[in-house]
Amino acid sequence: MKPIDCELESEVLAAVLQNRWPERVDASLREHVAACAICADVAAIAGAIDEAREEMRANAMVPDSGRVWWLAQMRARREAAQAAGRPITAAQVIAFACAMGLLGACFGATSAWFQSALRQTASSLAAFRLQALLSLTGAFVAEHGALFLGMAAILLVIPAAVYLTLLRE
Amino acid sequence: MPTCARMSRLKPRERAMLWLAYAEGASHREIADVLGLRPTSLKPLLFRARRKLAELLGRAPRGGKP
Repeated sequence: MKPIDCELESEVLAAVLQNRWPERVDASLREHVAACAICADVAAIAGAIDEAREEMRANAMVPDSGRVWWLAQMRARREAAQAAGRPITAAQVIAFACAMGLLGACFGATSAWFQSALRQTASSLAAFRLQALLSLTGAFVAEHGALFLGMAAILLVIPAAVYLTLLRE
Repeated sequence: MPTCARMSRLKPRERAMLWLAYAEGASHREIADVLGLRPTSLKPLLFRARRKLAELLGRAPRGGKP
C-alpha cells in the first residue's frame, strides 16, 4: 500500500513554519526530504501556503474604522430593538389567545344551536356501546380489506421513507 | 498564477484542512474536531488534498517513502 504519511513530516512542517527551511535544518533532514515524496510535498505545500498568507495580507481590503464602528452600532441597536420587542410579541399572542377563548365561551353560553349539539353529543356518548362499534369495524375491515391494508401500508411506509431520507441527509 | 488563486481551485473543505494543517500547524485531532471529521479519516483526506495542491503547484507525483 502506498504510504500517506511520514514520521518526519511534522519536523519538516515545523522547520517551514519557523522559517528554518531549508538553510537552518540538519543536512540529514534535507537529504530525507529530497528522497521522501511525502515530506517534499509537505515542504512545498507549507511554503506555498505561507506565501499565500503573505499575498492575502498584502491584498486585504480593510474597511474604514468609522464605517465598521457605525455598522456595529446599527447592529447593536437593531438587536436591542428585537430583544425589547420579544416580550411585546409574546404578550400580544397571549392576549389574542385570551380574546379567542372569551369569544368562544360567550358563543357557547349564548348559542342555542351549540347547546343542543352539546346535549346530543352527551346523550350519544351515554348510549355508546363498544361492542357495536367493534362489530361495525370488523365488518368494514372484512368488506374493504385490501383498501384497509393499503392505507395501513401507506401510513407505515411514508413515515419510514421520510425518516430514512432525513437520516441520509 | 498566485498561490491564492491556485488554492481557490480546491474544495472549501480541502482548503480549510490544508490551511489548518500547514498555516496554523494544528494537530490532526484539532483539524478533525474543527471540520467535524473522524480523526481516522482525516489522514487520507489530508493526503489527497495535499497531493491535489501539489499538482496545482506543478509538482509531479513521485514514488513513496525511501
